[in-house]
Amino acid sequence: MTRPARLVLGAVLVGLGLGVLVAANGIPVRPVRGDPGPRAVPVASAVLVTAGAAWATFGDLHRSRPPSMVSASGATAVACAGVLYLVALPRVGFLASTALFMGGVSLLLDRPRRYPVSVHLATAIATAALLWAIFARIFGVILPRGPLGV
Amino acid sequence: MEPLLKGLAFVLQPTTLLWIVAGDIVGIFVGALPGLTATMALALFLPLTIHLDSLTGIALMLGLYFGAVTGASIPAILFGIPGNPNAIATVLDGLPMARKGQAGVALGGAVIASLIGGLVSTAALLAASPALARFSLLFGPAEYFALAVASLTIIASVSGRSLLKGVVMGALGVLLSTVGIDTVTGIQRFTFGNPFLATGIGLVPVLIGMFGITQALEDAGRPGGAVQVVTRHLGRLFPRLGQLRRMWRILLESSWIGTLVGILPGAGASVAVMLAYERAKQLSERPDEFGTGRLEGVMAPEVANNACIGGGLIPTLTLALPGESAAVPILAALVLHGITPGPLLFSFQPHFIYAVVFAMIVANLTTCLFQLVGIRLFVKALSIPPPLLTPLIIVLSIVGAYALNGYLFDAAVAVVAGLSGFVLRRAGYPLIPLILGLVLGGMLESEFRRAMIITGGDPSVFITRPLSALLLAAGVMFLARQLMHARRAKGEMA
Repeated sequence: MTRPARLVLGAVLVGLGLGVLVAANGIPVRPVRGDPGPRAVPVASAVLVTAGAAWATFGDLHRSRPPSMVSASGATAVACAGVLYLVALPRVGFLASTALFMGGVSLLLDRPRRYPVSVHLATAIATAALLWAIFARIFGVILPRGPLGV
Repeated sequence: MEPLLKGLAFVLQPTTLLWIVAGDIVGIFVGALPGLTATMALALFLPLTIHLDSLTGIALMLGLYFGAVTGASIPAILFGIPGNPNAIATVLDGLPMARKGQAGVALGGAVIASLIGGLVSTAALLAASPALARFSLLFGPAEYFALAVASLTIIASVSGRSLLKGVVMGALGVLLSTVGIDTVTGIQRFTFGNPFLATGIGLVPVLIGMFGITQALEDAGRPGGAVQVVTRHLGRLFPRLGQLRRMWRILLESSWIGTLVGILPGAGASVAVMLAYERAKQLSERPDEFGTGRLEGVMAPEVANNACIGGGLIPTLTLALPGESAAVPILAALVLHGITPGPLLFSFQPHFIYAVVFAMIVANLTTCLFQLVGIRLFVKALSIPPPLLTPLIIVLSIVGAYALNGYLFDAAVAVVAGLSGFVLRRAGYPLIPLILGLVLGGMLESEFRRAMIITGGDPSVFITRPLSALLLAAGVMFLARQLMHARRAKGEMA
């Protein structure tokens, strides 16, 4: 991860801690004798997160890290596909969205191409159908349904 | 002698054995699917037990329970997805072992470990139930708080190169555990009007996301799509006898940790597995190799999570107090069949207790047998080409999180946890401390506040109660030892 990216992450963590400290002020308190109240633990944890993240980020800025073996672009593409899959699930239904996600991501990751497109698509459809059969038919989980009812 | 023979004769009936086997197979299947937990399977099968006689019904549930807990090691080792909290620690060394081509011995070791843990806790149930139940009653809010603090000190050893980042993640985990309804006052915190947040941020979706999705994203970012795992030469399925002999102390202590944590209502197997993992690290000849694929790192938590089953049944049968969440449906089955758990059960219906014990032994043995038979089949899953395996892991993670309650919100939590885990890990923030904070945060806060309310705000209760003081002292000693170790390692590196 690059230095600016680490700085941004550190700022996000510090911002999260500060946000919690502000939000904790809005928690109503019902005095009970001896009880430190519902604000105590969130405030203490938020202080630790804020101070710790600031300190760690400051330390990171003065330290160089070896480059990661994991490319951010491949992971970002799959992450975006994952978010799209989540959005599509209730709209398109489990079967169609799972088949599309499986097929799309497997095609994306198959570089250099080792399997023909038809294998990717057939595997994606078969996997989606198998998962649907296990979760919906055997264990009775009500999976998101699309226009086709599955 | 007569009750013992009566109990044994009952369990050896073909119909009882068949129900135990059926429970085992379904249980292993449930455990192997992320998101489906032992508690869920037991609750689903509870109505079926009404149509069976009381002992057969309990035998079926025990088969399910052992099967589901043992089966959870399969996705944890093969894909790095701890389908339920029992398998949090199994991932740490299980996945690296699978990636080194040692999936067979990791799965085999996990099964043997589960058998040992199950049998030791069954022996404890038979031999020392009343005494152990009395021990669980020694635990008040101060002791539970001290146990949570002692368990949180594990953060020091699972933080990798940066203890500071580990502490930040631990605090973040505790912070996340405070989302939802405050158990002491009933006030909603950080829910922002979202009804799904009222019950808090679920541990299982976070767990599935942080391990399954994070790992899949890392694989997707590697050249060639993902890591191709060596599966052609499965190698040994069993750890060598010499390895087991060297590990005897780890296995025995993990059994006791699992049994003792199991009898404490509310503590849970996730605490036991982390404590057992940590203890194994301390006892191992090569603690520095933990996390890179050590067999002890797989076996210790697997011993502990199965030992929790027997431990959890001790207060269930002696005090009608379920030690584990999965013991609740078993307690319900007992009550539905008109059996009143309590000390009198041991005096007036000893044959029932013996039958339960024999059913546990049979369930342990058959689970072990079925899972060993299936290992070659399970490992075949790893030969799925990497471009197909990565999306499959993501789909399993999202569907697993969704299947918990049927809420897309849980699936979204898993995705957010996965994305955050990926970014945080790249920046050197360890993820295990966050999980520990999330697991222990609830207990830490509620028990601290209960203790303070009981004493009218006097914090000396934590050091004046002997058990609480002992646990806190153990935590402090462990922390000091870890800090000294880290300092020495830093000095050697310099």
